Amino acid sequence: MIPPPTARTRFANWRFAVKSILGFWFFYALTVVARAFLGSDPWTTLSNKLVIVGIGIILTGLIYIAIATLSQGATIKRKAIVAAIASAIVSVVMGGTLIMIQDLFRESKEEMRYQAREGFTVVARGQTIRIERSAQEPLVLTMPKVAELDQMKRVRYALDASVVWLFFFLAWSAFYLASQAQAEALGAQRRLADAENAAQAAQVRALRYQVNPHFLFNTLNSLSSLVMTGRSDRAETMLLALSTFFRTSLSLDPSADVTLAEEIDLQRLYLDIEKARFPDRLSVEIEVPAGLEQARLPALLLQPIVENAIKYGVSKSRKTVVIRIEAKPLPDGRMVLEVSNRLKNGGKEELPAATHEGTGLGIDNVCQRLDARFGGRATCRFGPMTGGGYKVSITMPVETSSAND
Amino acid sequence: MTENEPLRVLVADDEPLAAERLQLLLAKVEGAQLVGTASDGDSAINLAGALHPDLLLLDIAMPGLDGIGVARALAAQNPSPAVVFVTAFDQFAVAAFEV
Repeated sequence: MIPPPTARTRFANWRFAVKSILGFWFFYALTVVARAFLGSDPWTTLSNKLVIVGIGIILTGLIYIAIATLSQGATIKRKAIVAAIASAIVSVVMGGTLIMIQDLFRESKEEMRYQAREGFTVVARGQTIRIERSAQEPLVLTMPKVAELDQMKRVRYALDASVVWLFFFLAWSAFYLASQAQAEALGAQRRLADAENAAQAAQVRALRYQVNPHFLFNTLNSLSSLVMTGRSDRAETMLLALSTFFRTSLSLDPSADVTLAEEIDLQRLYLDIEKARFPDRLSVEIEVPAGLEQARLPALLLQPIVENAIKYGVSKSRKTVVIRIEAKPLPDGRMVLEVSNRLKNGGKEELPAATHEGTGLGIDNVCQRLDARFGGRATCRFGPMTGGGYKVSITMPVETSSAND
Repeated sequence: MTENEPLRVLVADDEPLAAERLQLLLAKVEGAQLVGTASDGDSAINLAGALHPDLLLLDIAMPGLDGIGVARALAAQNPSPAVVFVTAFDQFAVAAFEV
């Protein structure tokens, strides 16, 4: 049988409650033991105090039950009110009980001696008070037992004791509620962090580059032409490039990084394939210094940019367009990755206007992935170049080994 | 156009391989004759004006004037060729029907 969930959650933290209650009373017992051994009859004092500790543990447990049942899941304010009321009731019960059982306590043999101003020595021991007078027999007074006092006096004594105990119970309640609040805050923080991690992972997955289906159609059409005209060598080269490109891009872990060298190889494959579609209109320049080849970046980060350069640059131009991919180290330890397209022989006509439209979506994706991966340490800029053409410029930290390794 | 006269076809595609493929496919069609190939929108309009083809196989995504623009421009002419759009891009299909 599975216990009902309410009971399970209501007293979910009973272990902590029991520990804190026992801890509190153990601390009280320690001070009592220390006090008892300062006196002359420690064992009687100790056995009497242990009864108090026992009652105290039970009553503190009742406060816990009250808090757990009456203010389960409530605000800290409500919990504090419940705890305060429970502490007040319980301390009255404590005071009352102690007064009722006062006479059951063993009488301590400990003596307290006072020198009165009038020259007498007063010796208090348990219920008896002995007044020693130098010339006469000592005067021995026996105080009434609590049970022999009248009702009003007993109630007053009980209330006096209650006031003292009230602060003890309030102290435990405050400690317990503070600990609970802290545990809840930590739990909430952890859940928030978990949620953020999950959201980030989901974002990384969602932003993962999806190979553009048009690219596949266009390539298959080109392949069809090559096969029809009997240029099987070129068809074979293109098929190999296509299969390598797809195998690599589909098998990549979306949340993992690749090295810049791997990313560039992939882009080179992609551009080789596109070169078959635009043999006279596409020219590729790639420049990556050896020192940056091992820098890590999200896989296929450059793909949407290069794809845009083809879609809005090369395919919209009658003239040869140069797509240039360049990596440069920065003095602050970061690097800048640039992808640009421009007319081979210069000139602004038709290219910049064509490259403005539609680039937003792909670049947004790139910038979001950069942000998810590097936070504020990466920046993303794009726009037309002054001499004509269009450039996307990414600045990111150079990390040569990743946490995924 | 009579039974004996071939169907005169103009191809317009900016990608050489794609244009080549259309030419090859066309060569297999009986009664069709390729009269010219244009590699962008403007030359497609010029060639259509000069050659008066019966049919234009027209790519949509082209530099300069695109296929949709070409079809609009030709529709205003008389006589205008029949136009068949050739595209791998689904999203152009709707625009193509609106011409």
